[in-house]
Amino acid sequence: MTTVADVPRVRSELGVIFTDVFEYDEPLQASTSPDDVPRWDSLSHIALVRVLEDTFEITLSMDEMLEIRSVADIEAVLGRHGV
Amino acid sequence: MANSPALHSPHSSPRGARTRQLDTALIEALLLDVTAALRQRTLVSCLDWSAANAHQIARLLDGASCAGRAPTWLLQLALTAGHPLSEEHLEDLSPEARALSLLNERADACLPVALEKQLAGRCRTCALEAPIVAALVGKLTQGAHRDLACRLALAIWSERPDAIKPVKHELEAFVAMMPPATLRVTGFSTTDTLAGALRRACSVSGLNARIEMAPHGAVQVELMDSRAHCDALILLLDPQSQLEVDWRLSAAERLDSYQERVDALCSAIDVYCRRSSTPLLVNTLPAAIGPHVGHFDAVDPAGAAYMTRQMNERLARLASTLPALQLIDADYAMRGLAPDARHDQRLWLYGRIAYSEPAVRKLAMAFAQAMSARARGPAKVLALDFDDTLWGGVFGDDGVSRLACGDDPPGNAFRAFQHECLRLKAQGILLVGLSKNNEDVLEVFGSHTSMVLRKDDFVATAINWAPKGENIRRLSRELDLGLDSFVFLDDNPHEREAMRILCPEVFVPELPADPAARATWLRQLGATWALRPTEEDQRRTDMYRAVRDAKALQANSGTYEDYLLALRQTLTVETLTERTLARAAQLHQRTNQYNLTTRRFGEAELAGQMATKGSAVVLLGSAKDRLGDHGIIAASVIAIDGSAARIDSFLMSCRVIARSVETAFLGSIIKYLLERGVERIEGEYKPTPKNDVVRDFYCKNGFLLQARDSDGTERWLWTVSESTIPVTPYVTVTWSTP
Repeated sequence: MTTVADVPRVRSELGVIFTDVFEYDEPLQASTSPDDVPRWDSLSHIALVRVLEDTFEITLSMDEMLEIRSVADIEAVLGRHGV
Repeated sequence: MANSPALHSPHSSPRGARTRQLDTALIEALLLDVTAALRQRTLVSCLDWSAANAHQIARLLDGASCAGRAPTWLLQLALTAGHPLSEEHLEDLSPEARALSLLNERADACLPVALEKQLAGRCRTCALEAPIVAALVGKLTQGAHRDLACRLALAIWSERPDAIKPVKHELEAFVAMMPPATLRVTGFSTTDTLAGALRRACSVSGLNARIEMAPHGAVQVELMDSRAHCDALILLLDPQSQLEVDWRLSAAERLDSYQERVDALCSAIDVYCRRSSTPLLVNTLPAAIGPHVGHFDAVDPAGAAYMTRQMNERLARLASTLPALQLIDADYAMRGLAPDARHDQRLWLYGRIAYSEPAVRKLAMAFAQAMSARARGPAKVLALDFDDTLWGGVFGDDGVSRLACGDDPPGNAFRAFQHECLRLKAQGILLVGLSKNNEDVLEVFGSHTSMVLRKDDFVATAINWAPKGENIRRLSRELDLGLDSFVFLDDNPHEREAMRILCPEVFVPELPADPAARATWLRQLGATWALRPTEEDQRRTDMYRAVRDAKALQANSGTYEDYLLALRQTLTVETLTERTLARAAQLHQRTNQYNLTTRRFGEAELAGQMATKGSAVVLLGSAKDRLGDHGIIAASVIAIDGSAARIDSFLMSCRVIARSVETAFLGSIIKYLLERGVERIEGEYKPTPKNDVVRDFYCKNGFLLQARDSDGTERWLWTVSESTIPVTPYVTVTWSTP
C-alpha cells in the first residue's frame, strides 16, 4: 500500500517546479499531464525527474521515471519515497 | 567556499513555514554558545540564516571572531542569507562579497564604478565565488546593473546553472548582442541535451550560438554527405555506443569488428575534413567506467580501456594531419566530476542519453572554449611579474642569492612555474616581463644559478615604477598586438585589480596564492588556448604515421555510397504479431521525425487492425548491418479496400535514417500489396514541426501529388500503371513469416 504525499504542500512545490522546468504557470490538477503542458516532452521529462530528485533528495528508479504521466503519478511516487 | 557542505543545493525550493520556525528556534539555540556551534559547521551551514535578524547575525559574527575576524565561510553564509556585513568583516573578502553586502544593505544601491569594473574583470577569471555570485545575480536584476548580472550568471553557469534563472529574460537580449555562430551537432547517442547546454556554454564564451541538430544518429551521412552550412560541426562520441561488443563472435572476429568500426568513423572524419573547411570538433572517448576484462582491461584487446585507447590514438593521429579536426579531451573536459557521475544508466536506457547532466555541461563548455579559442587565434602574450611570481622573495630587499628558486622547497614551486612558462614559450606564446623594480633586476636571470628562464626568453620587458597598465599598453603598441591577446600574471591582488580597471581588455586570471598550486594551474589555464607545438621535429613522426593511416582509409571507403555498400544492410519485413505488438505501439508513440502522418496508434488499436483480416495490415521492418542489429525500426499501418490501399502510418526510427532502409521498406510494402491485388496506393503527408525530414518522401519514391489541404496535409498516389516500385542497391530485403 502506498501513501500519498502531503498533497497541498507537495502540490505547491510542484507548482514551482513546473514553472521552472516547463514554464507552466497554470494551477496544477491531479490529472495534469503532458497533454496539458506543452513543454512536457520526453526530453524535458528527464529535466523534471532530475529536479524532483534534487528537490526532494530522492533517487527514482527507471520504472518510476516511466510511470510518471501526470501530477497524481508524481505525488504517488513521492509518497512512496516518504516525501 | 568550495568545501562548505551543501550550502544551497540547486533548485532548493522555498521552505515551509514550519521549517522556518524550526530554523529560528535552532538559530536561537546555537547563539547560546557560538564557539560550540561553530564545531557543528554542517548544521550551521544547513540552517536558513535569512530567518535571523540583524542582531542575531551580529551576535554570531562577534562570537565567532578571532582577532577581530570571523571565518570566511561564516561571513559568506551571512551574505548569501541576505545580511549586510560591517566594514571590518568585509576587509579581506572578494569584490563579489563586497557588492552583495552593499545590495543586502540597500536593494536599490548603485555599485561604485570601480567595483563594477572589478566584477566584470573577474567574470573572465573562472575564480568567482559561485554561491555569492548566485545570490548577487538575483539582487542585481533589481537595479541598474542588468548587463553585469548577465555576465556574472554566465561566468558561474557551469557550476551553478540555476543562477541563470533571475536573469533569464535579460539574458536573451544580452546574448543577442554577441557575435553569432551556427553549430551543428551530431552523435551516435541522443544529442538534444548537449545542444541545450552548448547554447549556454557558447554564450559563456561570448558567442550567440544557433544550434542545429543533424538527423538523429546519422553520423556517417552528416560527415560524408551533408551540405549543411555552419561555423562548426560537433561530433559527440560516447563509450556506450562505441564499445558495444558482440560476445558471440570469436576473439578474432571481435577484433576485426571493432577495427572496422574505428576505420569507418575515422574514414568518415577524413572524408569530411577533405571536402569541407568547416571545423569539426570531436571529443575523445572518456575513460571507461567498467572494465570488460577485470584487471587485464588495458592489456586484453577486448578490454574497454584497450578499445578506448585504440580509438583515441587513431583520432589523435588523424587530428595531427587534419587542421580542421579539433579533438576535445573528454577526461580533461570532465575533470572534477567523478567518473561514476559522468553517466546515468537510466538516461541511457530511457533515451540513449550517454552523459549525465553535469557531464554534458562540462563537455559543452570544452567544445565552446575550443570554438572561441579557434576564433581568437593562437596569438597570446604572457605578461609576467617577477618578485614572488617567478621567484620567491623581493629582489630589491633580499638580493639575488636569497631569492627562492631551485630544487628544494619552497623554491622548486617557482622553478616548476618557470618551466610552465618556458613550455608556453616553446608553443609559440610570447613572454614579456612587467616588474616594479630597477633595471638591475634583470641580472637575476644571469647570476642566479637555478633560474629556468633566461633574459632572452622575454621578447620585451618593462621594468620601472610606472603603473603596469601603462607599461602593458606601451608593449602592446611596440609589439603591434592587441591588448586582448595579453594575459597578465601577478601574485599581488592589488596589481591585478588595477590592471582590470586600467586595461579591461587584458585577461587577468586569479593566480593562486600558494606558489605550489601555480604550475598545474597555469597548465589548466593554457588548455583553453589554441596551441599547436611548432617544432617540425616533433610532428614529423606523427605526419609520417598519419599519411600512412590516410592511405589505408582511402583504400577502405571513399564516398558515402561505398560506405553504404560496405555496410551490407538487410531489412527483414514481417506482419504484426502478438510478440511485436508492444514494440510497434512504442514506435508509433515515440517517433516524431521520420513519421509521415504522426498517428499515434496504441496497442489496442494495432491489435484491432491485426484482427480485421484482409481490410488492414500492419507491417514491421527490422534492420541489421555489419556493425550491429538494430531490431524493429520501421512500421506501417495500411488500410486495404479491394484494389485500393491507404498508408495510414509510415514511420521509422532515426537510428537508420538516410541509409535507404526507408526505400527498401516502402518497396516491400508496395510489393506486398500488389501480390494481394492492390493497384492504387494512397499516401499521406501531414506536416508537423518535427517531421520536415520526410517532406519529399513520397515524391522521391514515385508517388504523384493529388491534393494539398489548407493545413498542409498532402495526398500522394502510386498506381501500377504510372509508377515503379522503389528499389535500392544498399539493402537486401527478406520476409519473415510468423
